[in-house]
Amino acid sequence: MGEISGAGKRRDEPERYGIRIKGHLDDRWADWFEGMSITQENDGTTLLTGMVVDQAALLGLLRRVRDLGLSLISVIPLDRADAPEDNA
Amino acid sequence: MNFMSSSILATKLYIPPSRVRAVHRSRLIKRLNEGFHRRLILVSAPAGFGKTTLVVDWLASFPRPAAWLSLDESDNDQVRFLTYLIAALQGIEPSVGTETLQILQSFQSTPIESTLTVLLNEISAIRDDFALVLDDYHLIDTESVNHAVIFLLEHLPPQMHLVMTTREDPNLPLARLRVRDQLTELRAADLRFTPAEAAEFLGQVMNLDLSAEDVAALESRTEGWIAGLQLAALSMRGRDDISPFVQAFAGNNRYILDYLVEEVLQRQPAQTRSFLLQTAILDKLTGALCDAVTGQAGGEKQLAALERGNFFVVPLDEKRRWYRYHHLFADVLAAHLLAEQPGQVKTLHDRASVWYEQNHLPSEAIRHALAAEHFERASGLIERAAPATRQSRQEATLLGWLKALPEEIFRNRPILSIEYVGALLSSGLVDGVEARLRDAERWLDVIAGTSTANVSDSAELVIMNQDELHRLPGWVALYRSGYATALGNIADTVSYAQQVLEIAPEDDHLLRGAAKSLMGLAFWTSGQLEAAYQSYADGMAQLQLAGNITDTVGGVLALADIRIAQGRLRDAMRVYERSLQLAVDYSSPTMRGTADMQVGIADLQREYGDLNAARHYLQRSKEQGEHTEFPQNPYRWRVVMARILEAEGDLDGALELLGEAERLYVGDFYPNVRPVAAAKARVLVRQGRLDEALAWAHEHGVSIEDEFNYLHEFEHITLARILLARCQVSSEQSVREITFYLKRLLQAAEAGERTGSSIEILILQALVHQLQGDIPTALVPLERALKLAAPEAYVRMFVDEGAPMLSLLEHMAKRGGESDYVQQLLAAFGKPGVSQPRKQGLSEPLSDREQDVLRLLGTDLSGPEIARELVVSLNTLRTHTKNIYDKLGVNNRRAAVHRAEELGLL
Repeated sequence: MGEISGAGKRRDEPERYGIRIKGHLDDRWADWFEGMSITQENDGTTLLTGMVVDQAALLGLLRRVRDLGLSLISVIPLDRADAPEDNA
Repeated sequence: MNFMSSSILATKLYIPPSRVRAVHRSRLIKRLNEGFHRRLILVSAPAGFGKTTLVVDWLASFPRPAAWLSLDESDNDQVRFLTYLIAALQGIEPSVGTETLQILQSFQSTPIESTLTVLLNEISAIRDDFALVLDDYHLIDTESVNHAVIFLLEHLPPQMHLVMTTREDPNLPLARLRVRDQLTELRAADLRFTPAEAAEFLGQVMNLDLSAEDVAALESRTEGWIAGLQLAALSMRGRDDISPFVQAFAGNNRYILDYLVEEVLQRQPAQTRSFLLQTAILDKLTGALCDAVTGQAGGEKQLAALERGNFFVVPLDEKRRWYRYHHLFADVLAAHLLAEQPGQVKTLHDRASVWYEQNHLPSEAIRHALAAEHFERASGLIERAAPATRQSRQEATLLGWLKALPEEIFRNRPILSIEYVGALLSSGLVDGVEARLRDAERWLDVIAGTSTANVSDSAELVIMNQDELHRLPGWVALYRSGYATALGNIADTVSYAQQVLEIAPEDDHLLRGAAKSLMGLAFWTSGQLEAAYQSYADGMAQLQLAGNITDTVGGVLALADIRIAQGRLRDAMRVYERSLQLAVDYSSPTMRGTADMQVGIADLQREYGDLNAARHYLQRSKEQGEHTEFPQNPYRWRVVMARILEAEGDLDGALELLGEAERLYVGDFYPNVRPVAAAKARVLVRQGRLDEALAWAHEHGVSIEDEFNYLHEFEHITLARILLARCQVSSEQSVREITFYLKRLLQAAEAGERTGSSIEILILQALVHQLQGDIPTALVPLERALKLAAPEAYVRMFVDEGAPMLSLLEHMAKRGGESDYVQQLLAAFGKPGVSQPRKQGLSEPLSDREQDVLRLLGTDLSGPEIARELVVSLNTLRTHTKNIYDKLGVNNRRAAVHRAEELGLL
């Protein structure tokens, strides 16, 4: 299986993701979101961060966002060589 | 079906009651009424937007009948989904779907399109317009179910209208539906409460006395999200300090449900609060089940009180026996439970599993046992439920359960392991089979060495289904044989099948019949045709004794194919006819497989030189409908039609059909002894496209140097034909090489007593000698071919060779060998059916309307344009077009026009 260009990561390896949603979500949802850590940010959004084993797991998390009727703002892989914030 | 499972079924089909006091959303209901004529009404919005409530309110005042299906995760099994769908439709028309259900429960796998076509025909019998609601379609996430829904949607009878509620847009061709004006959509923007609706809801439905400012603040904070408003209203009930509450709520950023559910829960008595959290793990609630899970009494009253208090509790039947929480509310409660009492969750699931088991609802019991990660319990339940689940053809469900179990659980459970193997193999999967077979095999010695009583006492071994224990060795050997078949290992297939016959008692017809059939297939694949025929015929007879009629009818195709390869056409015909008679005897003349028999007879008629009769049988096969055919029939039909076209000289048409056949090829477990690609290469030869034909040989690795085996015989004879044709146009091709090649091929065919092949090879030998100008030598193999072919009345085998064969036969006639038969063949060359094949062939005259349609098909107009021109619906146009194609014996527009021109109809 080939490597993702420049990222140095193989496909299907766990990756850290950040999922941003509208509104402040209580910490009690951590288990619901498979142990993601929950940060309430000053701009009124919540950032869920944590390791996601693969794409299927990521989609499962997004389905949970959907099932709570939450508004999804962004989904970003973190710690990636090609992630925008690391290029600076 | 026991009482409990029928009451559970009813909850899925029950249209939730429309609330007496609710906001009547006339603007949306008007849009639904106006959009009803379209195929699909899609209500797509996130959780809590009142989708279901809206559809329920609409239906309450809607003058047409509606069928309702509340979906859940277990509906991702295609058979289960369609079974419920039919149950829902039967609420409108009790007879609908009976035939479809028979197909769904039968043991032969039917392509889903065929099954759905039968269902659509049955639905067409419903007279009035009606709606079918699929509630919570987002819970469907398997392609197989979605595929079925797409097929239904694309072929929807005009009186049927589909309504879907979903949290995400379904994977349907929505853009196309929009363009064709077949879609009515209501989305979040439409569903949000307007300020006026919010005011009406809070004031009149929830009975709150609020200031205009408070209403505006709530509306703006929730953005018209109905679940939010309802929870807010619940939190405000009985408060004196409403305005401060509204201000506090409006002034923070917390997720609305977090804020409000906490408010609501805090205001409940401890008992209610704990009831809500503990029962949040349940998909469906009934008093006794809640009592079992909470360990308290009074569940029934509690549920009734929650419903009265507008607590997101939805009744699922008239008698208020079953309820469910609104999914969104249940999710929030479950998260509270998980955060506050994480250790409790498994215990609660376990209790639910026990209750469901006691109430004879195995699927639910299994689901909760798996959720509790109580795998011991789950595997016991699965082992006991497996036979019934298999029999109702819900193998996908069974496989889903088994996959959820950890590997080690199988080690002590031979029966469960063997169920797993069966579920895998019947779904065409081989991964995991070996490991499970080994788990089962570990116990064979133990079982053989001990009495049944001792075995079940053994601490390690776990057997739930004692009845199956004595059959275990037989099943293991049978699945070993089936596994070997799937892997293409002939020797193992035969030796394990042999083992079954040694182990299984004489009266175990199922095991013995299946083993004999597998052996027959293995012999067939290796070219031992007589042994294959005997084994397979014996296997079929046993399966018939075991009551498996469909398999028996299906096996006939193999038996006839074997007879044809043996050059025993008359026997093949008798096999087909006997089997059609069997179907009649079972008073089911349209039994599965009868369409395949018609195709088989058509091919024999073609060989006999009666192309009209052949076309007639193909037509009958088609008219019988897809539900009477096996999966192979679409491809077999096209191969036979292509051979007819080839005989009639329409080589392009033949190639086109063979191309389709290649795409539709389904092998099942039958050896692919006449690959379609080779048949295509033969047509290319007749067109003189030798380079392309050679490219086929190259691509498929067919070479003159190969060792021969039966599986590739057809391909080798094809290559010999290509080389012979090359000889005619190029001096590069060595004749000696072909002569030697044909000699080897003949030896192999004769050794295997494959007379059909021998005749063809002898004909080719004659043609090679003729090419060299040596007529006397050519007549030697020809005479042998004629001797073998005469008793079976072959015609096309000779006539298809064209002018060179005509000339050889004329020589033969002068010599007087096989004289009657030769005269018949010579007459066949001159038949009008050969030289002007297409003058006759319209099976039935076209109606006036069909002639109108045909004329427009000859223009550049598109389908919708033609429909407009004739002022008919697209569906009606499709029906006409289909009839025209059938009568002309074609399957596309271009061919229809071409054929109509030939027949002078245009």
